[in-house]
This record gives sequence, structure tokens and C-alpha cells, in this order.
Amino acid sequence: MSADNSSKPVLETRNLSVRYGKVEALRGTSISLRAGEIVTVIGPNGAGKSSLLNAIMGALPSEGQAQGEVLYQGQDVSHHAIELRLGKGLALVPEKRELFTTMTVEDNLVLGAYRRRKAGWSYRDGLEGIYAVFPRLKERRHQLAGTMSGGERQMVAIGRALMSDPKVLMLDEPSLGLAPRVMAEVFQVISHLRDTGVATLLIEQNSRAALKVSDYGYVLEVGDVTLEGKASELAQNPRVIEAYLGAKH
Amino acid sequence: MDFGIFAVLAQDGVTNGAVYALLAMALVLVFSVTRIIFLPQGEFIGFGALTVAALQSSQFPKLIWLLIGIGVLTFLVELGSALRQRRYKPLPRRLLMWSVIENLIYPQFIWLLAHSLDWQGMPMAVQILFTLAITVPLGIMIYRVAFQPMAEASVLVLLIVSVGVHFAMLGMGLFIFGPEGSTTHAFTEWSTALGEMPVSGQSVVVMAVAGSLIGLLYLFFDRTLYGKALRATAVNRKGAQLVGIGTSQAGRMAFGLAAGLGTLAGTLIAPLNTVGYDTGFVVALKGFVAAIVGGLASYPLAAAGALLVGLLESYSSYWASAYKEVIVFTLIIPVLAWRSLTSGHGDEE
Repeated sequence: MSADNSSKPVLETRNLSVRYGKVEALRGTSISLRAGEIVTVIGPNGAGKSSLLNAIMGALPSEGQAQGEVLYQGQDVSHHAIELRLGKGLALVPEKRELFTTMTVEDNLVLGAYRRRKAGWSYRDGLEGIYAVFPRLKERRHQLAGTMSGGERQMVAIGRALMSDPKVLMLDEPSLGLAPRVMAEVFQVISHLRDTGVATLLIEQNSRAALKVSDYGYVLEVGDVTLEGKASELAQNPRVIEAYLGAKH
Repeated sequence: MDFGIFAVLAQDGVTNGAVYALLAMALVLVFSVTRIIFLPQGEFIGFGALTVAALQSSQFPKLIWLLIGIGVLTFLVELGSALRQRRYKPLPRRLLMWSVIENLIYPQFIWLLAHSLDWQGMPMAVQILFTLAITVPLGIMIYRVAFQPMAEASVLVLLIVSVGVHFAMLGMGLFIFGPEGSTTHAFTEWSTALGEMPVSGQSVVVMAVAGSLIGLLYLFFDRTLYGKALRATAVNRKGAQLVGIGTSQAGRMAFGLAAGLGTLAGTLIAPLNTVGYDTGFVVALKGFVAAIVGGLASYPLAAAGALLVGLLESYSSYWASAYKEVIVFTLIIPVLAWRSLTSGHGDEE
């Protein structure tokens, strides 16, 4: 697929703010990502990272209010319902996965394609694509999603999001609670997605691993972007090293 | 009590239990998908039965007036919400077109059909289908008008709205149908005997219809994408939203199905009982007791609960007929105690 990196961003936020009642979670944030790019947002807990992703998807809880623009391929989608944004090509894997735990892995995946109905496309094709990326899910396809391990659940969540054929995949803490080996596997999949032209917006506690697979990065602190730059440069930035990468070097 | 009476009472209990099972399924469905306790269920029982009775006695089914009226109301609500959103985006023309077809044209079409065909001469199955063509859209419209605008409200607020809708529909039922009840024709005059026990064809039909409806529901939830989408919404609302199953779409589906099940339950009891506009409420409450046995979440447990309610009602009407209802509704106390003792965790809310 063509990674059209020079052209306009596929997703952009302009002055995006989120507030819950009187509490402001995000203040005028502007970020952008292009097709085939992996962009990561790092920052401490409570900096508004999840609010950013939920606002882009239109999935804020009912007491949350977003202001500002969310541009998808140049078009403002900030007043669209989730279903419409999903249909356009946005998909979110939330921090809590939000799987259908009492349903089988395959049903979870099939429902990921709920909005994707086109002539000549069957969800079987989609399933084969997901099983190619996550062979383990094929073995476990008849198992209930709630009985899977943490890593497998994450795979189901990512697979379910991919079933909608997104152009922009947003991952909220994909490595949360995973064993290091499983985490490596998840990051491998994320960097593999780049080759298919999917843009990934990543939020990660594990900033080191995230910056390693990313092209670009933002540092979000108390609702503001305080630093941005190429991922490789951010990883060298002394302030980032001290605050987020730990003094492991 | 000899075995003959015992068996007859059992047959009676299972027949009624089958009807309660349908109602319990509908209540579990609506609650698990929308968190609404569907009190207006009883009105669909009464309205359904009275509409079939009207068709059989060659009267105009006046429920269509209600369909036309609520259709206009629904259209106005949808137009209003579209106009309010105009600040952000152009008027959703296609959506409004559909709204005109569903809420304004369709009821007129039904009105025309009711006038132009001889419904009295039709087979009962066709009369029931036509009744469903009135009540199912009515259920969907009621969801759109009363519940969809406040889908995110708490369970208690939704219950209060539900009580309001129940009373509003009850009043409209009295206005439309009047205070008199009716019965419908029997499904069949056929009867047989199993050993010493007489088996009425009526019971066989009720059990067969209820049983196959439950089977169809199972297939719907297990095999079809829409059925899976409803289950998914019940399991995880946020997850369902993220894959594009809109809360309101799922709610409409649940209400359409529940209205249909309520109507069918009404037509199943109507040949044996005189059904008035307000008869359904007590019947639906028994379905509710059954649904509570299933924790408003489990379909098989709710079905088992329905059989239990049916049998309990049948035997208590033999031994203590004055206390029949008391005994059935008292069942809810041990059931609640049992449920709160066995399930350790609190409700997710």
C-alpha cells in the first residue's frame, strides 16, 4: 500500500479541549498524523491522554464535553456520532478493552465489522486477515472472550477494531497489564500495521517501547502538549529520559 | 388430590408458564439492552388481544388511530432533534425521509389495509400478523419518543418514565377500546387424551407456539448479526458503541421485539380469557416475577422461572384460590433473598 507521507495528514485535531463539568482534562490540543505513520502520545497519568482518544472517536462519557476540531482527511467530524466516525475509518481500542466477554472470540471479531457491509465483502475474508495477524485467535476462536489471558484479550480487542477496516487505529495503553513477552508481540503487530497503510495513534505507559516503534511523538502534560518531535529525537531528549524513560541508561 | 387433578393442574400451569416465559424473555431482553424495566409490556398484551378480537368481529381495529397519532408525534420529535443539530451539520434529509415513511406513511398504509380487506374471513394467523404490523412499530415509536432522548439516564429515572408510559398507554387503551373485554376464537376445537388426562388442543397450541418462539429467539441471538449485536450491547455498552452498534438502534430493536412478544402472548391467552385493555398488567407482572428469577439477565433461568410461576399459580388456585396472586407475587421475596445470597458482587451501574 502507498504510504503517502508527504501529503496532508489523515487525522488532525485543532484546539481540541475536553472538560468534565468544571474539570478541564484537555486544553487546546493540536496533533496530527499521516497515513502509515505511528504517532505516540506519552505523559503521566491524568494528563488527558485517554480523553484525547475518546474525543477523537466521539466516545467520551456523557458528562464529558469536547470542543475544537477533529479533522479526518480534512473534514471536520467533531459532531459526528461514533458510528459515522467508525464508518469513515477511525477505530479505538480502549484502555479497558471493552470486550463482549460472554461471547466467543469469533463473535467479538464479527461484531467488529458490524458497520462494514459492502457488496462482495464477507466477514469471513476479514476474519482470515485477523487470524493471519493473530494465529492464536484462530485456535481460540470458539472460546469465550472473558476466559482469555490478558494478552489474548488485547489481541481480540485489536482484531475487533481492525475488522472495521480503519485508516486510523487508536490504541489506549495496549501493553497495560501484559507480560513483557506478550507486550513485545503486541508492539510487533503495531509496527507491522504500518506496512498496510494504517496510521496508528498510540498511548503508552511504556514510553520506551512506544517511542521505539513510533515515527513521531507528543508529550502531554496536564492537558497541554509540552513537547513534540520525531520519536527518535524525543527518546534522546534529557527531559523525556528523566521523566518517562527512567534513568535506566 | 388424585393424579388426574394433579395432571390437569400441571397442564394448566405449563400452558400459562409458556406465556409467562415469552413475557419474561421480552423483559430480560429490554432490560439487558436498555436498562429499562418494560412496564408497558402489559398494554401490548391487552392491545394485541383486543385488536385480534376486533378483526374477528369485523370491527375497525381502533389501535390504528393510536399508531397514526404516535407516528405523528414520533415524526415531530425526530424533526425537532434534526433541527436542533442543524448548527453543526446539514439537515439529515435521508433520515427525515425515512422518518416520514415510517411514522407518517406507514400508519396510513395500515389504515388503508384495515379498511380495504375483509379481515373477518382471514385465517387467524394472518389476523395475528396484521396485529403485529400495528403493535411492533408502536413499540419502536414509544421507545423513540419516551426513552431514546434519555437513554443515558439512571435505571431509576428510566423506571419512572416507564411507569409514566404505562399509565399513559393504559389511559389511551381505555379511551380506544372502552372498558369491555373480549375473547377471540379458539385456535382449535381439537382435543385428545394422554392416558386418563384430557389434553386440550388449546394448551398444545400455546405450548407449541411459545416453545417455537423461544427456539426462534435462541437462533436469532445465537446466529444472526443483529441478535449478536443485541447481546453485545447487553454485555458491554461501550464496546458495542465502539463497533458502531448505536444505543438507540439496539433500543429500537429490543422494543420492537418486546412489543411483538407481548402481542403474541396476548393472542395466546385471548381465546381462554376475557382480555380487557387493562388485563395485561397483572399477566405481565407474573412475567416480571419470572424475569426476576433470571436476575433480569438470564434467558434460561427466566424461562424456568416462568414455568415455576405458572405451576405455582395453577396449584395455588386449587388449594387456596383466594390467595392465588398473593402466593405468586410472594415468590419474589425468597427469589430475591436467594439471588442476593448466591451472587456475591453488586450490580454494575
